[in-house]
Amino acid sequence: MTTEDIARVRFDIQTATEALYRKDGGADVSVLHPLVQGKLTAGNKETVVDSLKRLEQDLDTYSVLNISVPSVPQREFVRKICVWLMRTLGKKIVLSLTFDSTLLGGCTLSYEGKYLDHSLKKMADEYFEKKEDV
Amino acid sequence: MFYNLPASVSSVSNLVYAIAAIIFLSLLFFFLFLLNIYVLERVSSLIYKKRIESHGETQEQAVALLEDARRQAFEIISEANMKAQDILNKTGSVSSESSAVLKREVEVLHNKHVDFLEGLSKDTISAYQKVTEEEKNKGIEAIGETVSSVEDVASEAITALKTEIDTQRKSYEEFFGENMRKEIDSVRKELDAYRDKKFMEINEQAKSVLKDISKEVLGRALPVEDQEKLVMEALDKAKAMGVFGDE
Repeated sequence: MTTEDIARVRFDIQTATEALYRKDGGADVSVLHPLVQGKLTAGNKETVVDSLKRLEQDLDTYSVLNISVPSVPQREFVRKICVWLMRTLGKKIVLSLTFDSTLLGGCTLSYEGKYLDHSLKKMADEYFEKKEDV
Repeated sequence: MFYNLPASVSSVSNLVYAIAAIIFLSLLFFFLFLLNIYVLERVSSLIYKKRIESHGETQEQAVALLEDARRQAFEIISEANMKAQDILNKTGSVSSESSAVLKREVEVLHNKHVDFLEGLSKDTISAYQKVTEEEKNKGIEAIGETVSSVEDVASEAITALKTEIDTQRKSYEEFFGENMRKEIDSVRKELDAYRDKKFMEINEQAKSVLKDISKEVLGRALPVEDQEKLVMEALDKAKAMGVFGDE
């Protein structure tokens, strides 16, 4: 899940909560995020609201992995990364993607104060430094 | 000439007059001789003063002076002759024969004086010309010696000047040469440093351009699959490095 997904879930939780308390009743749940939709089927109104609150609280427990890439990645690739994070690490990690064209290729990672540069820019610099030393 | 007087002179007084005339002429002759000596001395002195620089003019002046002296001498002798004749004429008691003899003797004496004076003048002029010629030659020789001496002195001075100039020139050349060498070394070092600096700058610029171009080419040429692969490698590397914490 990305930070955009988190934002949309939060927005949908708020939207759904408001819809539950409206007098006209019904709301179009089809436009809501699947996570929210799943909570709405829980039962009575109070239970649903409680589920949404827990979902919102759960979102706060996710830690953020920042990945910077030189160009906008395909959606499928983003999903692939998220799956990798979930399956490989088993942690609640939300992916935050930023773009930096100077990286040329590869990416940089930062997670809870730790940093890794695996970009083509760095690789090229290291290559030229080695050439200069020679 | 005293003992040549005729014995027919009867009167003692006439004899005295004749003797007086002869003595007068002799004294006059002696006086003229001294005058000639004096003139010659004056001319020599003048020549000595004028030397070679006005040789022609001095010679003309000397000849004119001698001519003038000779002319004056003739005038004096003529006048003396006339005086002697007058003295003889006044001695009325002298017989005609005695008078003729005396007149002839006086005339002979007069001619002798004239010849002597002429010869003396010619000798004087000749001697003067000889002296002036010698003086001229001496002057020319002295000038030659002086010129030679001056040439020697000048040559020595020129040689000394040349030596001094050479010494000074060498000194200046050494001084300026040393300074020039130092200056050239300094400039050469500055140029070397400047050249090295510029080479380094150019090298850095070239590297920078090469890097930029290489990076640009790499970035553009990187396929999507390779980009995705790099990202997945980064995740694996981060996991291996413990970026995500302990497993």
